[in-house]
Amino acid sequence: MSRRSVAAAIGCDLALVGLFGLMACSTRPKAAASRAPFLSVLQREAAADVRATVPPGSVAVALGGLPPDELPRLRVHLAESMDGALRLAAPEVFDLDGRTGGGAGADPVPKALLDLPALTAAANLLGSPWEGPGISVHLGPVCEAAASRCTPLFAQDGPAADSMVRRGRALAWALANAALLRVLASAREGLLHALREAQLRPSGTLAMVFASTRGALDVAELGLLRAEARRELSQLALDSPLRPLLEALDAARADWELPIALDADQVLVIPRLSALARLQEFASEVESAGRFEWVARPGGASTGGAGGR
Amino acid sequence: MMNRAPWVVAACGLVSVGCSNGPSGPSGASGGDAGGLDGGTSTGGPSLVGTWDLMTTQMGDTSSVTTTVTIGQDSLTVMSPGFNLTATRTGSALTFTDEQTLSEPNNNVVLTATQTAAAFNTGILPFNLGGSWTMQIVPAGQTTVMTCTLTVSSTEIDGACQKVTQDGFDFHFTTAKMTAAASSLGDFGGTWMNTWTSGADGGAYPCQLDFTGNGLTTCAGGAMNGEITGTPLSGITFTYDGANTVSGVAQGWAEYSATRR
Repeated sequence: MSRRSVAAAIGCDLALVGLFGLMACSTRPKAAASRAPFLSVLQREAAADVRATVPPGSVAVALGGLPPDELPRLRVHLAESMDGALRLAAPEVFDLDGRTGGGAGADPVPKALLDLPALTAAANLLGSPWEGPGISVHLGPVCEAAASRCTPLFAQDGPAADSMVRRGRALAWALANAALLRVLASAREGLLHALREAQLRPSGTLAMVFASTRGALDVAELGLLRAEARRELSQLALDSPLRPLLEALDAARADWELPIALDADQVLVIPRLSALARLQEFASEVESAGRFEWVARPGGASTGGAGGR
Repeated sequence: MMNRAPWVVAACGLVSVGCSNGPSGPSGASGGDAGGLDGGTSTGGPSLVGTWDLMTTQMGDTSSVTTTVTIGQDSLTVMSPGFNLTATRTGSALTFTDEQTLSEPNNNVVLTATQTAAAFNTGILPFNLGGSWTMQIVPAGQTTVMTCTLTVSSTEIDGACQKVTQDGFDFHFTTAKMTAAASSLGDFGGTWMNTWTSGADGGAYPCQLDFTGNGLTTCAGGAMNGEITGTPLSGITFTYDGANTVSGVAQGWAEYSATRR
């Protein structure tokens, strides 16, 4: 670690420190009844290092869960962000007259990062089995025989849930906290439009919206995005932290598929990782998007009621 | 720093919302009662003492990292894949050990702090923070590289660090409360204006901090590639759901969430 980063870490630490139902769950595995899929929580040897990997296909799922316009927009943002990053890295090349001095008005966060919540959520969505310290969580149509706990994916466990169930659901956060809606055909288009507008709000709670179990991205647009990612990879330092994201974009394929099946009249909405402590707000944001019937309402409220404006 | 910032924010957030109801440091200076000197009130809430699984995202990497954070009265332990951090308190002395590289104690950095206590209602915070502090930062095998001071009151929080050797650096900040608000963080509740002054470039970076309810929001902005170009306090959000989950954003883009075991 460099001297500056050590110093910065200490400074940041100092500043921050200074300032500042089990009803749906059994304790034993049980046979699947009528509410598949299930999350099976298995105990395992504790591991010191637990790091999720990026599942193949997660970029396609993320882009499939974003508004269709986001694919070309991501390419443009990517190009702008990289140019900006290069300018910040080598301002003398760009003759910026000191405009990149890191002042209070500077916004060093690339617009491309606005899509990170969807990419993060997609990586988790496809992450089964999810691994955490001392536990492993598997998504499946039935409870696994070896499971210490098993809970329906869309159960409403609530804050009093068994600790292992709570931990298991937290590891599988994208699906376990998703909103599942049943929508009339007449209300479907309007609802999807409103949800996709909501998911682009920087301070919003929505990461991805799906109206079908599987789909395919625009192949031509995806090709352009991959080409842009390759172009930028060629200019990027080998140790740049942006490389994994660009490599994942370069390797993205067009087809995507969810790990659970949606009925034809269902819509699945995935929250952002940063919104997991705001699930009531997430549910309200979904609710305000249009008319539908809740199949699974995150945040502890009962399901089955009507939602929407 | 790049990998550490999100969890540092999250860990501090965890600490900030609740290791106990009514902190009481050894000096007894921190009040556990609701209500601050300038009208701030505590909304209360359950204790967050316990062990938490913290998930953070990193720049350019859409997978998440799981870190274990253990919070106790006057103690904090963070165990991540890349580093460990331990904070313990004995009497008026706080020791903060940052094991920056696992199994390489030669890279450890130790911060020791000594408090002269004064009244400050930290709400559900577990640490007795009020009063004035002096600190020394000592990397393993070295002498002090930086010295710092910090003063914490219900209307003003100021700090400054000076480098002793070339391995240190200079900065200072002032934080003035503008308006009070109800918060689970007691006297932190309200709107503050922090001005961060960097010794490196001499720039002064203002940042508004809003503590209300069970949440915190700071000024817009963030860091790229671990390089802080303005204030390190920008781009932070934090929410506690009042039960077993906290979540938010750090550096303007990095997401985090923690669940109590």
